[in-house]
Amino acid sequence: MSDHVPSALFIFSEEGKSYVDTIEKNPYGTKITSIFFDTLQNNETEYLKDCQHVVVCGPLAVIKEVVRQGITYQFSVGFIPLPTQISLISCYGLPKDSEAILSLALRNNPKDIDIVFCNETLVFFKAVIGRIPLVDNQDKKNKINFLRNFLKRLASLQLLPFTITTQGTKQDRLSTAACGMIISKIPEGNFTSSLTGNKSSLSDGMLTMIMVAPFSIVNYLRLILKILIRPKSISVPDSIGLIRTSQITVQSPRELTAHVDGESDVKIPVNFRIIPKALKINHGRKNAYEEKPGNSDQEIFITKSMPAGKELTKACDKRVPFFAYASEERFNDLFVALRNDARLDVSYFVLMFLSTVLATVGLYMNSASVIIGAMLLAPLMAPIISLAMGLLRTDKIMFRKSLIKIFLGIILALLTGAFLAFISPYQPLTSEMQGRLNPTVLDLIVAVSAGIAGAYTKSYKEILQSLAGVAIAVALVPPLATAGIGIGRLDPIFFSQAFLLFLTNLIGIVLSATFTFRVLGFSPAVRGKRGLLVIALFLIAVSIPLLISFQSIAAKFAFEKGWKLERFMVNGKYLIVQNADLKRIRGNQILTVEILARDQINRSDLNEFKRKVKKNFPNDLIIRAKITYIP
Amino acid sequence: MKTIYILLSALFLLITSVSCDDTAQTPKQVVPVKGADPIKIGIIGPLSGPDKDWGESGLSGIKTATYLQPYLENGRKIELISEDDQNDPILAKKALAKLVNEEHVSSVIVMSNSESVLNLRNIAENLKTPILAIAATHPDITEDNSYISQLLFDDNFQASVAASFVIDELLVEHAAVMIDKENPHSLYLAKQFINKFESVGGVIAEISFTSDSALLQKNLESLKNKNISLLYLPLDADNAVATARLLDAINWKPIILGSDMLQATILLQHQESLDLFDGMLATDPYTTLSPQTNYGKSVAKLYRKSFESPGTVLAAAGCEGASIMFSAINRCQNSEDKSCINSMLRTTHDFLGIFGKISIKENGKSERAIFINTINGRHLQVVVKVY
Repeated sequence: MSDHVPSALFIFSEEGKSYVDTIEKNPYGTKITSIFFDTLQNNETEYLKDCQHVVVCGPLAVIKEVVRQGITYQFSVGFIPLPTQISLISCYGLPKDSEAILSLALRNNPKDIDIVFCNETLVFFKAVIGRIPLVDNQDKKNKINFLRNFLKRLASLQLLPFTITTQGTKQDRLSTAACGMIISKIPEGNFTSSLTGNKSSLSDGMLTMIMVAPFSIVNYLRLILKILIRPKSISVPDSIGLIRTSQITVQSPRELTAHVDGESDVKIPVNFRIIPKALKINHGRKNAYEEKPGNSDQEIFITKSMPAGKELTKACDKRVPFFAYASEERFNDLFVALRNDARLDVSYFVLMFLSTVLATVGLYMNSASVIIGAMLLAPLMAPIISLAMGLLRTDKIMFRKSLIKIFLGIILALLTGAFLAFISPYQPLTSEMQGRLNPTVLDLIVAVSAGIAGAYTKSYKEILQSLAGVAIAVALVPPLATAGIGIGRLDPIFFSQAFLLFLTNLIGIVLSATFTFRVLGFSPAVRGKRGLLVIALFLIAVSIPLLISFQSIAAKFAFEKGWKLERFMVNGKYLIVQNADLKRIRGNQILTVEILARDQINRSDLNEFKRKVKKNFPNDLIIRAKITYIP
Repeated sequence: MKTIYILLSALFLLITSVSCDDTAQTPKQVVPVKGADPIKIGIIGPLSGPDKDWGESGLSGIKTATYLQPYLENGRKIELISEDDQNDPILAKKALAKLVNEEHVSSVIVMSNSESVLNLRNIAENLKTPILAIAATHPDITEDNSYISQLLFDDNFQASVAASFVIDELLVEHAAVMIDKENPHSLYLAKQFINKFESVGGVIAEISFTSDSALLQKNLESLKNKNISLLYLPLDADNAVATARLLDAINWKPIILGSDMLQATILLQHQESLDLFDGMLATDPYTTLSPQTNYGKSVAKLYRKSFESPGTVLAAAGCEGASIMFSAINRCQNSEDKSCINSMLRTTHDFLGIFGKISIKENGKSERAIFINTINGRHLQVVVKVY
C-alpha cells in the first residue's frame, strides 16, 4: 500500500486559496480535486458521498464544518493549517515545515479520533465555562491588553455554583463552586493536559473536565506559576477538580454560557458527550497512550479540593479573596499543634528556667556559645506563634492561653535573671550584655523576618527543623535575661533597654507571623481586625524608640567614619587619625582615637588636641588617645 | 480610639520636636528702621582685568551674605560699596583710601591677593578701619598693623600641613618645589614647605618657574630623571597650567600638590585644562563634596537661587567673610565705631561657617580647618581635613 492516498478532495476557503497550486502539484502522486468551500456547500452530497480523503485549509469554522461532514460521510481528513492557526498545529501535532505538512495531510494511514459535542455544537479544541484568567484569555496578540485583561479578570474572580452530573460508567452528581471550567479532548500541550499529566489520548472515549476553584487570588497565582514552571506536572494541585468520563452535564442556577473554541456560545445547561472514534484524521501526535488504551480509558474523579458542604455556601457567589480563608477541617493538624503549644505545662517552665540560667551565665561569661545554647533551649517561640494564630483567627482560648503562657515565661525569666544578678558578687558589663542594650530598627527587621520564618516552618512539617535557626536568629531569652540582670542590679536603664529589645522581638514576631499565616491561608472566613490593629499600634509604639536608636547608631557610624579623614596640626605636630570609636557610658560620650604621629607628643600637645576636638565637634566628648609613632 | 489618636499625635509631635534640632547660625529676625542711614561696608577686589572672575565670584558671595542678612540687628540696612583694584597693590591702596576717606565706610572686605593686601598694611594703621582679607594667606598681612585680619589660614599653617601630609601620608621622601620668585606668596609658601619637609627628614629639589618654556621643560626633564615623585606647586593658576602642559609634553606624571585657591581658580578660569589636573591635590579652605553646616546649606541654596550656579571657593569666602563682618558690627553698640568693630572682628569666636567653626584671634589670624582636596570631575573631593 502506498504511503499517501491515491486521490483526495482539497476543500479550501478564501484564506486557503494560495495553497491550491501546491496541493495539486504534490510530489506524492495523489490526484487532487480542489473545491472552494462555498461551492461545496451547495452540493455537498455530490462531492462527498464517494470521497475517501479530504484535505482542508481554511478558518476554524470551515475546518469544523468539514469535520462534521467527515463524521457523516465517513471520509478521513488531513489539515493544511494557516500560519495563524497555532492551536491547530500544537493540538494535533502538525509539523511546521510546509513539505512535511503536505505529506502528513495526504498520508494514507489516518487515525481514529473521538469527537466532543457540547449539546449540538462540535468542540474542536475546548469549551470554557466561567472565567479562568490567563488560561482562557483569547487576546494574546496584544500583550498589554492581554495583561490588563488578565489583571481585571483576576480581580473580579468569583466562585459560581455548578451541578455536575456524570453519565459515563460511573454516574454521579456533584454540587460545587468554581470560577471556571475547561472541557477538552486534547491530550497534550495545553492547560488540561498539564494538570492531568497527559493521561489521555485522542481516541480513548473520554473527555476531560478541569474545574478551577481557587480559595484565594494568591492560590490561583501559585497555580498559574506552577503550570508555567512545571508544565508537565503529574499531580492535581489544590483548588483543581478533575473529571474524566464519556458524558457530563453542567448546570448552574446562574445564566452562563459555554464558550466553544473561542468562537461560539452555548447556553447552560449543557451536555458534553463524546462520540468515540467518530472520525479518522491525519495527525502528528506520538502519544504512548494511543497504543495502550487500557491506561487511558479509566474514568477519573478528583474533586476532594472542590468546595462542598458549608464551604460551598460560604464561598458561592463571593469574590475570591486575595488571601485564603481556611476551615479548621482542612488544617486540623496544625491547629491541634498550635493549641498544644499554647497550653501550660511543667516542661515549659523547666526549659524556660534552664535557658534563662544558661543565658545569664553566658552573658556574665561573655560566651556567645553558651548564649546560643540558651537560645536553642528557649521554649518561648512556640506560644508566640500560637498567639499569632489566635490573633488571626480570633480564637479567644488560644490567644488567652498563649498570652498567659508567654507572660508567665517572661516573669520567670526576669525573676531568674534578677536573682542570679543579685547574688552575684561580680557585676561586669560584658560585650554580650552591651549588645542587648541598644536595640534598633534593625532588630525589628530581624524579628519580623524570624516571625515570618517561624510561622512558615510551623505550617510545613517538612521544614520544621529550621525552627532552631529561627530561634537563634531572634534570640528571645538572652534579652530577657539581660533585663533580669538590670532588675537585679537595680538599673532601670539597663532593664528598659534590654526589655525593649525583647518587646521588639515579641511584637515583630507576632505581627509578622500573623501576616504570614494570613498569606498562607490560615485566616478564618470571618476575620478579626481588632487584634491586628492592637498589634500594629504596639509595633508603631515600639518602632519609635527603635528608630531613634537606629538614627543614633547611624549618626555614630557617620561620625566615626568622618573621623577617618580628620587630621590635627597641634603646635606644629601633624597627627593622623587612623580610627575613632565613640561609646556612650553612663551618659558620657567617650571618643577613643588612634593617632599616628611623627613627633613626640607631650601634655601641652594633648591639651591643644583636646581643645581643637572640643571646639570643632559637637557634644561634650571625653577624649582618649592611643598614639603610634612614625619612626 | 480617639484617645489613641491623641496619644499618637502627641508622641509624633514630641519626636519631631526632638529631631528638629536646628543649630543653624541663622540671623535673627530684624525689624528695619525706616529713615536710618545704611551702614556702609567697602569691598576691594579684582573686578576687572585678568582676575575679574575671581573678584566677581567673591562679590557674589558677599552679596549672598547680604541676602541672608540685609539689615543689622539694629535695623540699619547694609550697603556695599565696591572698588576695583585688579589685584594690583597700588590700585588696592588707592581703593582703600577712597572707601575710607570719601565713602566713609565702617569696615572693608578685601578680596585681593596677598601682594595687594601686604601693600595695605602701611595705610591701614593710619586709616584705623577694620579690614578683613578673605583670600590673602600671607602671614605678614597681619603683622605691623592692628587693623587687617585674615579669614583664611596663613601660609605657615598651610605649608606645614602640606609638607607633613606629603611625608607622613603620601610617604614621599623625595619631592620638588617649583617657586615663582616674582610672587611673594609663592616664595613664602615654598620656603615654609621646604623647612618643614626637611625638618622631618625629607629631601627637596628646588626649581624656579620661568616663562621661558624651553628652559622650564629642560628643568622639569632633569627632575623627572631624578625620580622625583611629587611636585609642590605654590603657583598661581596661569603658571600652574603652563607647568602642567609641559609635564604632559614630557610625559611625566608626578603627584602634584598645589596651594590655596589654585584648584578653585582652575575650575573657574581654566576649565579647558582640567584634564591636566586630574587627581591633583591642593590645600584649600573649602571643598565641595563634604557635609556642610546648616549655615553652609542655607548659603549654598541662596547662592544657587540668586546666581543660578553652584558657587565657588571665592564666593564661599566672600559670604563667610561678610557674615563675620556683620556679626562683628552687630556686637558693637555703635555700628560705625571702627575701633569696636575691629576689636569684635579680632575676637570672633567659633563662628559657624560653611564647613565648620572659624575664630579670629586678637592678632588678626584666623583659626580654621584646612582641606586637602583632589579634583574629581568638576568637584573638590576631600582627602583629609586638618584642624
